[in-house]
Amino acid sequence: MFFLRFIRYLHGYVKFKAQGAFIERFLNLAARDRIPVWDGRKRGAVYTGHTSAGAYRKLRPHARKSGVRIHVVEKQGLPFKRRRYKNRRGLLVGFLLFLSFIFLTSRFIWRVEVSGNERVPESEIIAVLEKNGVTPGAMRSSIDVRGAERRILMALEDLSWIALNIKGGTVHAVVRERDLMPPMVDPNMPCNIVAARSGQIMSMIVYEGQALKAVGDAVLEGDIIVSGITEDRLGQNLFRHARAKVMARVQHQIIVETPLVQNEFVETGEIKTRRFFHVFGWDLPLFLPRKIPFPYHVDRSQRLLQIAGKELPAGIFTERYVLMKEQEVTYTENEAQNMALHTLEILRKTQLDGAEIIDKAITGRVKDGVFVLKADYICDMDIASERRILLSNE
Amino acid sequence: MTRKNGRRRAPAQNDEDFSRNTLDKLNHAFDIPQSSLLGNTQIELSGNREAIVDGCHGILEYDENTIKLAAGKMSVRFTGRGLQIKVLTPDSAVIEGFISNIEFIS
Repeated sequence: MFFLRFIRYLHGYVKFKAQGAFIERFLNLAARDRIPVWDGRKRGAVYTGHTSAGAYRKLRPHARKSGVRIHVVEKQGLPFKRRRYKNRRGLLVGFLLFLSFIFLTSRFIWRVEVSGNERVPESEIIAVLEKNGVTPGAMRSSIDVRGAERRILMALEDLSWIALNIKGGTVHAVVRERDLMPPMVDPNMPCNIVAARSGQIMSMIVYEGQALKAVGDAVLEGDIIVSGITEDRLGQNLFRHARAKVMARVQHQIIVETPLVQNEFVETGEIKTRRFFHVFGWDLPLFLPRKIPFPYHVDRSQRLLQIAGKELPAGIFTERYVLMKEQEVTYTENEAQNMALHTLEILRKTQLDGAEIIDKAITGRVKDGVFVLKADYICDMDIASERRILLSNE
Repeated sequence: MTRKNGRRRAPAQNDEDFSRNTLDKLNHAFDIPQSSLLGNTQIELSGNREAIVDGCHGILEYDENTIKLAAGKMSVRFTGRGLQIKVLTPDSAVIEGFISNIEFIS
């Protein structure tokens, strides 16, 4: 039904009224002459119906013959609309421009999306894609999909598979990451297990080699715990790659010094803003070039145009320069302590990574204008460290 | 009526009857729908709202409550409310409205 209406709209049709005593005869004559008449309704002596724009004229002789008067009530369809806009060339030009814009823009890549990555950052994949020509603004036809996939896999060793699916103006890069190989243990390289820190051994699992220390023994940093040199039944020395897990209770101290008086950069309150029009990776400045006095820190923000919730590769990039000046700042003991605790937390995470903290004692005091924070930890950690045995013939 | 070879020729009416009878027999023999060979009027109803009449040869009477169509040797009268002829072609018509009665008049 929709197509029928659409075709009628394309050809144009008229709604007409017929009045007279012999409507039936008029309709019969029209039907016999194969004049299409539809959606007819008769009320009293008045008949209202529709016919195609071209066929209306053919109705007139039949109306005369049957003594019926007909007249047009309404004209509808494309030919009548076209006649109405005949002198408005601008509309046609605008429509053609719109069509050419759609045609041209559909030949470019507008978005690049990456999915399936966990370890490899999206920015890294997008950078490699860009190097291989898969970037917003590139011509769709210029992308060698298979070649780009091969080159990207060679560039990113952590990827085991990639598929570039181009759908409209969007490239979907679907990736699979490679399973990482466990570190190789070279059995031919003889080594001992030595203590990485001083402490008391709490538990020990020896996978390879001969244990020289037992659980409960105290060790100093560098002491051999498991030897890579073993003896066979005949008394001959065998060189092995010793492996072990040695959990020991160790003491660890971290000292953080925070001067109460420091030179720092503080905001002057003056802010300068620069805007760029970003399109297909190009930034067009929307400002007059003027030097911004150093020091400052910059915040960048972007607002991309969106269509139906999808971001387009065009929009406004804003750089916000917050001007700063160097100034002597005096901190109170409390402020210095908070800063020192923050630094201590960062240091603890790096120095005691993987360790189980059993006890800790943190003390702080001001000495010569410096807040000194001292943290003493007692913790259990793996102190096994491989040390290669250097043989004389090597 | 005689031909040159002296054999008698049947009148036109008898010819028509003869072919009709033959087609009728064929219809029965092969169980073919009547309308396909005999060209009878075929009426297809969609509930009481629409009737598609195939093989009608014109409108005899038309108003909101009655539509009478010529269908070969007989005529068909549809009565009801708000009746209208939606489509009309030389040999078919589509009637819409609340049809309450269909009458065959020969």
